[in-house]
Amino acid sequence: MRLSLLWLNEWIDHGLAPDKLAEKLTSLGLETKITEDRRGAFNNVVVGKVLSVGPHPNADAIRLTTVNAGAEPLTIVCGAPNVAAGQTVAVALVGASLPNGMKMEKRKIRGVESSGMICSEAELGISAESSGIMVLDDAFDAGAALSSLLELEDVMFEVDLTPNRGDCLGVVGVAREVAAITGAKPKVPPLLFRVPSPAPASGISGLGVEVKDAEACPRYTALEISGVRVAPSPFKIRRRLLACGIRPINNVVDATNYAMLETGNPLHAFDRRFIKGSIVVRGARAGEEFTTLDGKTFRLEAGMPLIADSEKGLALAGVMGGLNSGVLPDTTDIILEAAYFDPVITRRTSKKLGLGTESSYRFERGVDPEGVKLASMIAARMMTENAGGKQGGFVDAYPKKIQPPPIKLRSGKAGKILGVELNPGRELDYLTLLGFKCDYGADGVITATAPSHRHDIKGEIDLIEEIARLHGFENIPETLPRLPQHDSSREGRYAKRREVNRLLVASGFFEAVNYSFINPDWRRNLGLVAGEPVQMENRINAELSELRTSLVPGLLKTLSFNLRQGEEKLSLFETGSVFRMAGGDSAEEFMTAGMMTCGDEEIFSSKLGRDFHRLKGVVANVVRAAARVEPEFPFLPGDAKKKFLYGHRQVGISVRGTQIGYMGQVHPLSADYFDVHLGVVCFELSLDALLASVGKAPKARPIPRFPGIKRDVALVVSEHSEAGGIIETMLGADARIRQCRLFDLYNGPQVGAGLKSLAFRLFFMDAERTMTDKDGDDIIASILKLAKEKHGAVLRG
Amino acid sequence: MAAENPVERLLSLKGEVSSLPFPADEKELDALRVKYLGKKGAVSVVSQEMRHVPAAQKPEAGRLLQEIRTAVEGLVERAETEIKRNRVLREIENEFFDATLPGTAPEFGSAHPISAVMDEIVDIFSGMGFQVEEGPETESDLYNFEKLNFPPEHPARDMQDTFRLTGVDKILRTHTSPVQIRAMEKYGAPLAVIAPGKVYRCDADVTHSPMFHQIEGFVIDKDITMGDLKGTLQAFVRRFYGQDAKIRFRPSFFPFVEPGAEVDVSCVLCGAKGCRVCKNSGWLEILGAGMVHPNVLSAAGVDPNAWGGFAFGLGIERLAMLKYGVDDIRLFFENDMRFLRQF
Ligand SMILES: [Zn+2]
Repeated sequence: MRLSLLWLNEWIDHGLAPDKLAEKLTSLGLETKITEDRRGAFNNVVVGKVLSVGPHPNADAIRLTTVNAGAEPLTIVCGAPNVAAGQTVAVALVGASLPNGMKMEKRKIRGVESSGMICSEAELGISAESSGIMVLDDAFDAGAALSSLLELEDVMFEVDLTPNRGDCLGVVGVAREVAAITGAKPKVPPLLFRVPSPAPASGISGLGVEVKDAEACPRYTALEISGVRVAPSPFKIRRRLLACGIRPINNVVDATNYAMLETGNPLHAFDRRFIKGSIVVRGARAGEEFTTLDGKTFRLEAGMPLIADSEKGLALAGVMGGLNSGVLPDTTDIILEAAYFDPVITRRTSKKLGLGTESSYRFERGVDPEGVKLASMIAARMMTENAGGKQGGFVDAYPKKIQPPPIKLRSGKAGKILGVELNPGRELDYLTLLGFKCDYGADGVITATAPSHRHDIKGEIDLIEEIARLHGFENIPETLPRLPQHDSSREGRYAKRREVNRLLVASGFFEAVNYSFINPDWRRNLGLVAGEPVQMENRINAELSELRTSLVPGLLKTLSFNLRQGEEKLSLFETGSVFRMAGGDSAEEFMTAGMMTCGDEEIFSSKLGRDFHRLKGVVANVVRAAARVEPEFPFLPGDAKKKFLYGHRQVGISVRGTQIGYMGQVHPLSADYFDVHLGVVCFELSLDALLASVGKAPKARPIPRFPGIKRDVALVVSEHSEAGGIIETMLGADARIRQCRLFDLYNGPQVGAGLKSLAFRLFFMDAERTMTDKDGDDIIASILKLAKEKHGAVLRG
Repeated sequence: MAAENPVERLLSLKGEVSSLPFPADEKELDALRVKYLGKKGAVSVVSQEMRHVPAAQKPEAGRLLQEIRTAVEGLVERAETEIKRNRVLREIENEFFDATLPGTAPEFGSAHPISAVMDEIVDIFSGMGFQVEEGPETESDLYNFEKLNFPPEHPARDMQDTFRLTGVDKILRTHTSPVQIRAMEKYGAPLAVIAPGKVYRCDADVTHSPMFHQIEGFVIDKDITMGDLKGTLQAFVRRFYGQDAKIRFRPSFFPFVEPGAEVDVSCVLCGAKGCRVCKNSGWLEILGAGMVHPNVLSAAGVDPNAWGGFAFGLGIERLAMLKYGVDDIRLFFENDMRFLRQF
């Protein structure tokens, strides 16, 4: 909210410099910043009288004027089309500096010296109006300082109000806060003394007012003003509205907006000609059409509160008036509405219609039900003063009294929560300064009733917060609590995720963080079928419309992006949640780790799949380290195979027989879609499943007493034999074979066409005795025999 | 040859070997070995002559022969060691070796800067005794708003633009605060929790991302005060930003805490003197905090008359942007390797 210092000063003598004022308000929870300081910005800007206007000798479009600015007549060159002799204008004299940074010097314009400038509103920083010079009231004296006449030397603040402080959405509200912190009493602004109070509930002749929906409209007042002449508002009003971000319209509408900015209570002016019969506050009929004064037509839902006459809707209660009954240039008689509309109901209407206004913004946050009359009086006075209106009858329908409840503050409670020493006297002082009515009971309990504008005060804790605000948060001493203890069984997944992350980083992978939402086309093109995706109802970007069911699409996208940036070899991983529908109207989410790597191999160029096996090694390392268990990599049955991976280059990742993930090489046609033309391998595994499979801490076993022996053996087999089966056969040949490690794979000309050689290093050990060479020979013999039977393997010569 | 007195011959040989020069290199050593210990070397020759030595002289001759052999073998052994040592020293001294060739171990990758900052913060609070909890990212309105004291149709909901999901009674959580409710319902009081995670708001520009990360922290116990909240956060900023870091509390509003506060830390970039980043104020807004609202305790099944607590929440991206000097939040989610490699 924008706040004018001069306007605020009309309501309270706070004696604070602007920066101090901002600091005080901020310390109260009204975050305030100075946005514009125009003090001293209008030195040497004075009132001038245009004496004559003549042609410029060297130019057609600009003219020479003589202006009386209090002393010798000045020659001023002026380009404005509307300049005329006899006008009272604003003159920036030589030496003046204007808010837009312009410094006035004596200078020649097309050969003629100009002793200043006649200003437009834009040049004075008042509005955007720059098509002509600003014409002032003829009552101003030549030479008078403009700033004091037009209150130009204002300071503007931006007050960032939290949603609970609707009571501060007006100058009066801020003045109350300033009063509380400074102890100064709010002034009743002088103009109010001259407001003729309407006769209480005198009624308006010929116009009934009936509130049918008291829930939506607890209070409704209507004031009759007749004989107005619609015209622009005086300069001061227009300036204040503009400074607060509201466009001036005319002296009637401006009065309602001005009173709103001042009190925080929105108002609406109807042209009485268009009200047929009585004013009725009622719920709309289902499908009832209503056109707002900006020309938009809405079909209303049943019950949306409407201000209507006997025939039609006149205004959407608390939101916007109708096109059918607003103030027109020829309007003379006004019905001025000031009301209290229910915050929740107003918000519901505003949300449903997608129509938010200055008015609905304030009603949603709660206006002062007891401030309704003041707002009405201020607007009415402006209409009488500035538009020549006459105040008539007044109706005050208040079917549902808004009564703040008394709240108890237990003795010592505030100090206990804040951690400060507070005596009841201090507590009473603070609350009283904020306008609470307080009783101090014999039991030490304070019973406090909030002022009518504080809708946010509902319970004891709210009183404590008020006390804390005035006591000052900076006066609460810092202490350290003794934290409750917990056992480590409460911790798990986050730590495991970090461990997996660290292992992957140590394996050379860079962590990526992708959005959880993806483009469905990415998923469809990968043929991801595991789980129905969760769709988003609203989105930041039309394409990213569903939650990811897998980390793969995002990682492929990232891979593709980086390849386009010129990267050649990439290893990326991500850990994060994936989501899917879970039957009915529920959704599930899982924490997974996924990884992508690409680079070494061109697609189809190698049958070896080095990347695949390197990744397989990394996965095994990670599972082994993070779960203390040896993973298996089983082939997946046909229906469990991933369509976006090579048919034969994919396996599951299992732990103790339970599948926790998969890995494989991305199908070239799938990679194509992402504009990736290199071999890509990936894995994905469930961190939840990994966590569930973590083995117990190992129990130490004795170190073997007898040394083992090492043997190497190279077998020649058909090139389509799988190493996994051969290793299994070898390990099964004798219980003393403790390790079998493949260390070479060769399929060149030396072993013959269609064949390959696999070389293994074997380790034998007997727990009971030292093994002999003969033992080693025997084991090798049984290995060779079995390998020949099962795999047709022969010893490489 | 046999005519000569063998003992004399041995004595003369003993004299000869006792004054042998120390061989300077392998060539001299080989010559020495051949001359004395070779098949036709002097020591071999005298050994063969031993059988001609009269019995009476045998003991002395045997002793002399042994002394000669020991002397020569000792010399050879010492020379071998010395020559080898000299050769190794010389080789090491004179070799060419390129230590500037790059290392060949696989390079490390790196943690994402958001993870790094998040883990750092979690570690600080873990060290104080907070337990780590996580909650779901798809949340119900009940946990994301209602139990946190956001009534339906309250303007406070406008503070957080919500992503709604189709066909499920869920939203993407807008903050990590629902973990307060979930943890209290799971463990009851007392409790000290730190809850890191992803959150979502329908908002995107240079400083707002539709997905970002928060850390929620809260303590529920008897006699917890706002002073405890201030002390805990002061301890945190000191650990995170350094000994001189100060905090400032300003009243603010979050429905689930009361009194509520915005917390500023003295600007770490300019030492609180005022700079572009802190907009010349000397302060940086880094988190929101307050005392857990009694309605929140009740909603989580904890008796607000018996227990109280404080809570705070901070945005990781903001801290990471300040820490690493990143000025556009979108860089965190583009995953450009040229960015990621910097961390
Ligand atoms: Zn700074």
